[in-house]
Amino acid sequence: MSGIAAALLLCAGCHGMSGEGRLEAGYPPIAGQPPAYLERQLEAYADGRRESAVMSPLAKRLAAEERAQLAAHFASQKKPGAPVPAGSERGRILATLGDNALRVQACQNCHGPGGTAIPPFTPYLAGLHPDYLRRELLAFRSGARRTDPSGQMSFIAQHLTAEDIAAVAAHYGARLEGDRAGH
Amino acid sequence: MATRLKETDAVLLGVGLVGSILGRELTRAGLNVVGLERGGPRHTVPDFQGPQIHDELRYAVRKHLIQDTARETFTFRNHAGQVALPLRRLEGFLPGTGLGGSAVHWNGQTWRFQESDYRMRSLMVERYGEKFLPADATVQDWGVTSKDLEPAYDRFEYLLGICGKAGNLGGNKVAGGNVFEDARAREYPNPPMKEPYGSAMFRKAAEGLGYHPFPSPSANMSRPYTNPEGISLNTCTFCGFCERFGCEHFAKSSPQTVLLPVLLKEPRFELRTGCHVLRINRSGDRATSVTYVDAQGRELEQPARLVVLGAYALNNVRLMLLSRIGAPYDPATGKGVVGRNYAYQTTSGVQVFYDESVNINPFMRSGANGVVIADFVSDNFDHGPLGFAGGGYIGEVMSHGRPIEHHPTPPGTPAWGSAWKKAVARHYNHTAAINVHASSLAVRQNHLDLDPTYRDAWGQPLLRITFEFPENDIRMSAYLTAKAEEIANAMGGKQVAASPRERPYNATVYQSTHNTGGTIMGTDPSTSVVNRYLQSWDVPNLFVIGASNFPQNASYNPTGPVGALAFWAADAIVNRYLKSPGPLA
Repeated sequence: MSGIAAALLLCAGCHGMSGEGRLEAGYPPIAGQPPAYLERQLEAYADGRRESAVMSPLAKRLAAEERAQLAAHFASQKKPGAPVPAGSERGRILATLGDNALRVQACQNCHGPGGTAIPPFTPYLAGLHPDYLRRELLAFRSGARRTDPSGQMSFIAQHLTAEDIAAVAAHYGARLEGDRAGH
Repeated sequence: MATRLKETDAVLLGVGLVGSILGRELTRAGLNVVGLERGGPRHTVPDFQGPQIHDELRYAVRKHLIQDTARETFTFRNHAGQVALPLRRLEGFLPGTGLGGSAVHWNGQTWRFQESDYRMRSLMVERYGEKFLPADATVQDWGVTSKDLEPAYDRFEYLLGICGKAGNLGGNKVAGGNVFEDARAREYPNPPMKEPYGSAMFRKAAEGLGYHPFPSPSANMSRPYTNPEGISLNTCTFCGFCERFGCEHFAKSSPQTVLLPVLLKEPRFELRTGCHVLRINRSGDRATSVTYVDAQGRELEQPARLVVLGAYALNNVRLMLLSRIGAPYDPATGKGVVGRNYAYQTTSGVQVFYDESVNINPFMRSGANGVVIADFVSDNFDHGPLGFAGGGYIGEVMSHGRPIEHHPTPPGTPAWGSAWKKAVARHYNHTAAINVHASSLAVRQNHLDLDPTYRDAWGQPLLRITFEFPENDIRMSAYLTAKAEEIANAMGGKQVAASPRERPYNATVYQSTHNTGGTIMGTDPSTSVVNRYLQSWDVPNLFVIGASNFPQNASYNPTGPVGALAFWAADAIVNRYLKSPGPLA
């Protein structure tokens, strides 16, 4: 088995061969994310800008060329559907308009209407699991995730309350693939 | 008959950049303040959010944030021999309207003028002799110095979180900054923005020619910043929708992002939007009230002990004329002051066309980021052999690559049709633009007055603009644009196209929203409208603040000096005028 095929099997163990993820186990879908985004995340796991007991050791073992190949593979897969948790009005407002008093802009400014990604570096949010989104926002807030060199995401996560983070996570968790309406 | 309201301590005419600063400073000093804003309220959320804020047609072409010409506009002519006609669509310059004023849709280029600007006449005469300035030049000193204004600039830059690199810290020159600037007390609050590719090529070429390139100071944030008011701004995303748009990311300094969150919570401050001021009323040498029409169409009179006129520069002049405060300027006799020394900005450009291997990515920019040189600013170079006054900065500052407006094509390309389309597709991502942003000499014939024919929606005369580029500025533009062309030739492109400024001034082509003068500051009441504290010579409880105070326009963009003048005047009002109301000079 070639190196890349072995690496792909390792990824598939949690994310699935098509990158569909296993939401119930907390493994996010990665299928159809922009390739540059996926490659950058693997780099970040390898160099410590993103922390994970599972991902970091795996990413460190990959050569740059392997990261690019894996990113290309999963980027080319079809985005999966997602379960539909109940989104709140508060979550919808934060996602599509933001909050003037908190000085937080709409998520969709950068992640696109409906949270469907703006390549090359801004991932889709729609269809990711609310638990995953909440965990990542908290990681941006605490500084455990430092993959946004502009500091935008840390600023936003620091200004949102814990309840708002849960609300916006639930909103995007509620988006189904192909639903671009946003609201 | 206007309904007379209860008297307040101070009334602000316009709640833009100047109004917000004065509102904050005066309420902090214990005054009750009413802010009258002709336009509507608007805030980052929800008004400036994506994707609607990126509607180029709505904002950039149809100018949604700009003064509504169906209600009020300006008439224009090049010289007194012509009949001025109304500008029915604003194109050449774009005064904002609504809460936050023009500081909502600005680009964020934030500069300090130099001593050689504030004391232009004295220093030109000193260096080049009495006869050097053209005979029709009405250039004069501001009545303040760089040192006077330094603390005010410092406050303004820290309030806005300006991103840049100092070139003169307390008299010590710092390589990599603007080594021509006057001494500043401390470094900019934030580091410069990232340097785009076109800017990097400009830097290399300019350095090779012996110039001193440095990053353009920006009010687009290079990192998250919390200002002295405790208000946080986020990082600019280089979205390319800055000028003519509000910022969706809390990343461009504007009243909304640096002051209003605090001011609007202040119990002593009352904001009234949709209020169109008709005039300032006076009794003898005192302003007693202002008359305005509210959003319901009612005419109201707001009495106040102190009046601060801080509208757009042109509208400051118009309100002074409509209120009959100060003698109107007459270009035939040179007498009178209101409307005198109207000046503009002498801009020009050079394009560098590259082959398709060089990607400029013009869409990935902010309003103010880029690299410039100040070697030809103001009197930073010897004018003696050149025979003109003034100067400008030269730089690669491309604010955007928006699809409707940005279509660089080389000279000789057809203006429409398939050949044009092909050329746009070929050159869109492979063209760098160099700007020449130069001064404007005040001359006797360029002025502002009330139009004899055309009136606004309330039946009041429009402001009439009489302007043509002075011969001095045309020669200056030719010289500076040739210097820019030399740099462009060293930037490695396939073709270079230079466009020095030519006559006539055309108000239907966008050049700059830098209209200055008309209520100029000075030390002599016969040649200025306000004293060095921006206090009306005729009506001491009236302060007029804005680019209308500039006796002539300088090389750099005007917002920095406008902000500094606002803090300078606020300091004079709070620490001197309120203690002993009366003339300060």
